[in-house]
Amino acid sequence: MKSPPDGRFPPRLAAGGWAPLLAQSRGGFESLWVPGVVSLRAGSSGHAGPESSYDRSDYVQGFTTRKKATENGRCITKLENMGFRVGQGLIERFTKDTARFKDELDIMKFICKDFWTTVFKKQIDNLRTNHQGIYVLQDNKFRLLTQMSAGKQYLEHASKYLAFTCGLIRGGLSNLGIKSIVTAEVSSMPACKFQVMIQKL
Amino acid sequence: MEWFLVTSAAVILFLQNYPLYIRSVPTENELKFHYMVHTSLDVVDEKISAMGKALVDQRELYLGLLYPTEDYKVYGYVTNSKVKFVMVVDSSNTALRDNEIRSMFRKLHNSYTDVMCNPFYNPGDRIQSRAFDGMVTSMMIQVC
Repeated sequence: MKSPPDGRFPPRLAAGGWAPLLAQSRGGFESLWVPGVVSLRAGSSGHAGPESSYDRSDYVQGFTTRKKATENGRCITKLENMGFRVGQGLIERFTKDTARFKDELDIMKFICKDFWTTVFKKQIDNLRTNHQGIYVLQDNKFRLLTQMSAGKQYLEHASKYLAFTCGLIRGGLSNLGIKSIVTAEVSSMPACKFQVMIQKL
Repeated sequence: MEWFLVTSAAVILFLQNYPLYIRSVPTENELKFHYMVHTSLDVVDEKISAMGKALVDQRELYLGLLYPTEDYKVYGYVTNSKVKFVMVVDSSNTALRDNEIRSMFRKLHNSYTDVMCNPFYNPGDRIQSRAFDGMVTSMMIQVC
């Protein structure tokens, strides 16, 4: 494909047209804002140049990943809080016609069966407890992860998809009078574990 | 949460013994109804703790008559989310059987659920919902 003439980048040609522009501007950016690197590269012997530019890119990358990490954390907290409120509302609706719960385990069973079935169209596959306030809910084919490739490739992205559900569980339990901390854990893709730690008063 | 309906009926809803909604007819005697309803909260707590050990079919949300006084009857209802509904009705009103009271509580609970699912409502706040008010009003009209 012929590259468009300078100064004219109609949107339709974006794919062909933008790449050179980006490369150009990046070059301009470097020489404009970081003269130190450029002069080092030009003035000193072989390895000093690449090394210092590596340092810089490392620093920039470190900075951006750190920024991204805090940003990501904030999003996850927000999602978790949204899930909390939704969970409160849902549990109010779902428990409207059920008998009063006998104890904590009864409530956890309700979450694993009725609640999970209504929200995710399947039950929790395994519920374990140490009888001291820790419950582990295991879902071997968690709905929100089934659309992603199985395996370890996108493991780092799983947290975004689990935050809301963690909030959902926490909100539901809190509305039933149980304060808890819920964390999620994925070791291979569609399967995931939710750990519920009950906060005793 | 406390709910209170009076007319000679009063309705109150409580969460953790903090009133969420109070409504009574006639309004001039409101304090008397508040007093009655708050007194009944102890009976509600008693009934709940006794119920934990009861059989499955007895673990109903509706608690039945909490206690009768000379002029009024006080009924209670507790949701799974520990919201207490208390209703006070005139004991001279013989049209209100247990079943009617039960269905009134159900209606109340349905409306409360709608309030809870409103994203603009913060759980634990006073209920200020026109739909809820309307439902309570219609219930009171029916009672009085």
